[in-house]
Amino acid sequence: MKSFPIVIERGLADAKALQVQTALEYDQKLRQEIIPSCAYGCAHCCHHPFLVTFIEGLLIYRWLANHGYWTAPLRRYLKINRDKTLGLSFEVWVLSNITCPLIGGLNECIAYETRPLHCRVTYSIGEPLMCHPHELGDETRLLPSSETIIGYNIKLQEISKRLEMPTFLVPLSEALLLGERFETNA
Amino acid sequence: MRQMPKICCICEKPFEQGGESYTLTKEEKLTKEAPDELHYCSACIKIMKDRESGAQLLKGLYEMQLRKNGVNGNTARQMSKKLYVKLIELSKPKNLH
Repeated sequence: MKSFPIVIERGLADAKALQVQTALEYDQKLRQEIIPSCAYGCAHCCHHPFLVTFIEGLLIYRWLANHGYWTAPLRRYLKINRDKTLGLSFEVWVLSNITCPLIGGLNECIAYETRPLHCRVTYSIGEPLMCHPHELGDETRLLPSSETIIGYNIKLQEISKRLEMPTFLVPLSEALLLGERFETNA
Repeated sequence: MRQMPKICCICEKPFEQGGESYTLTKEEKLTKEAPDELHYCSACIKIMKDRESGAQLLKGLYEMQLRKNGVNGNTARQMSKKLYVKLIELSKPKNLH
């Protein structure tokens, strides 16, 4: 893995620490109030649309590259996913049931250890079947805490500004491909 | 002269550039209210052209409409699944002309 200048490495470490801390605080607060009903192997929420910051994509890209998961087939798949999701409205995205590009066989996330905050704070607290993109409605009991995610993204954007990195939000596949380009050109 | 923006028939957002338009044939135009032309923005046409995502989108839209019209959840799920299977079957390369 390529090392960036110390200022950027520090900023990336800050971003990672922020992600871990936010997820931990959310988890501690949540566990006191509710019991998640998520079942092992259920990946309904891995078909839900969400956007990430460039810096979060860069962190995940580095982890994938470091652990040998950044392969040509994954890159190809990310490009297909990026072409489908970039600029797509959330309503159409959710109904199209597009799988997260990081979902591997047996519905397991290949980047589980470093997954985005959005995935870390999404829990089912009702019937998991109702989390399917085509079932989302009044009966869905899902906890994606938008307040936590928005607050986190604002803080990440502040770190990005400090590092003179892009602050926009993009689909995960695009963020990962941008991360690769950034590291290659750095 | 500036062109009037077209409205995407899937996401209902206006767009000026890119995308595709299709003129409906008499057979396709089942009701008087149906428009003569259907416009798809570039993001939605990509989904529609993908065999899996396109079928999933139509399945989702169909299921949503059925529920809106009072069909119960299980029936809506089964009916839309049937539509999905049919769409996948019809979009097999050997069935496309």
